Amino acid sequence: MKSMSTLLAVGAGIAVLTGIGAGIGIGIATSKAVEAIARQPEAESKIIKSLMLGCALAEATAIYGFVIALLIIILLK
Amino acid sequence: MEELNCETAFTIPLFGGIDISESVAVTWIIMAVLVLASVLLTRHLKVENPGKGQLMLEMAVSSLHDMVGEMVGEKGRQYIPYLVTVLVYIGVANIIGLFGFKPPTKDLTVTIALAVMSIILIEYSGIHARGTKGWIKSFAEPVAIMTPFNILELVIKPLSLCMRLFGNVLGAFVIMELIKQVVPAVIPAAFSLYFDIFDGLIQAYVFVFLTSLFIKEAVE
Amino acid sequence: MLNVSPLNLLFTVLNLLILLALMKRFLYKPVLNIIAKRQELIDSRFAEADAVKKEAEQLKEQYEACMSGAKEEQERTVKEAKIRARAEYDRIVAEADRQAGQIVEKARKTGAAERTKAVKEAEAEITKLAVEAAAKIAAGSLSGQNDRVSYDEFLKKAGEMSETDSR
Repeated sequence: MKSMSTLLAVGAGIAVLTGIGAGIGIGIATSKAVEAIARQPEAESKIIKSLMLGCALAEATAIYGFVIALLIIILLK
Repeated sequence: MEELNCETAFTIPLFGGIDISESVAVTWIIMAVLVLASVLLTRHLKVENPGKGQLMLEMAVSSLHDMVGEMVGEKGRQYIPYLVTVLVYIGVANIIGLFGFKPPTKDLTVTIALAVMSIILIEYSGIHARGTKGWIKSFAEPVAIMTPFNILELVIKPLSLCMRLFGNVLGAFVIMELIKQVVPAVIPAAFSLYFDIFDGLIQAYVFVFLTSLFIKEAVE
Repeated sequence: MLNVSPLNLLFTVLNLLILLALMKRFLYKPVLNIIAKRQELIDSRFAEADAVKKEAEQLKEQYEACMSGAKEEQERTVKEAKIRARAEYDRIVAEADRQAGQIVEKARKTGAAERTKAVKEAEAEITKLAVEAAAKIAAGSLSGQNDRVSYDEFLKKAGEMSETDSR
């Protein structure tokens, strides 16, 4: 059973790798937002609002990975 | 990891015992606080020469109203009160961890309830705006081949709404617990500023934003 | 955490619906009511202010019309006065002219009368002298010398007279 829980841990770890996508996505979004603010500082509040929303949505993928990891650990234990 | 579990808060000795989960109990507390606060705040409203408190209350209510109204569009005005209520409820539920309660949104039951209500409201608004025939036809938009995906969306939309909220709050909760185990003081406060307040409010906003976006899509 | 009990799900839904009703009743309605009322009040105030402003503008227009009328009146009066003054002036000048003419005429007439009178007097004098001379010649000793003297005298007198007359 030791190897089983090891495999579960590995599976959970792989599920959490979805965070990579979210990280890249948020990074790109933020860099674009910074560029946009540099180009048009007067639109900062609007850009920040959209960025926040986009980040929250992009973050969701990482969250899904996290939830799946939890499900793997808790349900398959 | 016992904190993750949602225990039964108490059992009502009726019909052979009704188990009330912690999240429902905390929801009751939130409801009581919200209603009490609104009763207290709206006690002495004046048309002329409003006090500072009244002005702030009015500003808060009307800005929430305008924000949600902007998101849901002109045709979805009738759903604004529900959306504002959900926004306030999720916002308070997410930051109630600061006061030592377990956030109800950490319980999957609550987020599923919220998501189910959202999808019912979305489809109801579609039926209300287009009629039953128009609503059924709207599944074949933009092309007929999209119909299965549109039907799948009936499940995907609430699932993503519910999982996003649940996962965010649970993730924040888990990380906060881990930090508290490592460093018991000071540092958790700084992190809870982000995880409890900022993230909690953002997620409440995102939930309501997506719901109103779907409603807007359905009514237009 | 992950176990979903249908009963609690139902409870949560009910809770939310109740919360919605309560929030609508206790927070939404009063606050939005008061905002609507205030908006109404503000609108009515604005309407009032507009009415007052319109009235003021009307008054101002009236006043301006009044002012421009007064100005016209004034200009007309001044013009009239000028015309009248001009007429008066003309009249006075004409009168003065006339009077001056009269005076000159009168003076001329007087001068002429004087002259005729003087001529008549001179004629009378000459006649008298001639008569005297004739009488002297007729009555007096008809010496040559005497003759001569009286003749000279007559000429001299007549010359004097004509001298004064021509002046």
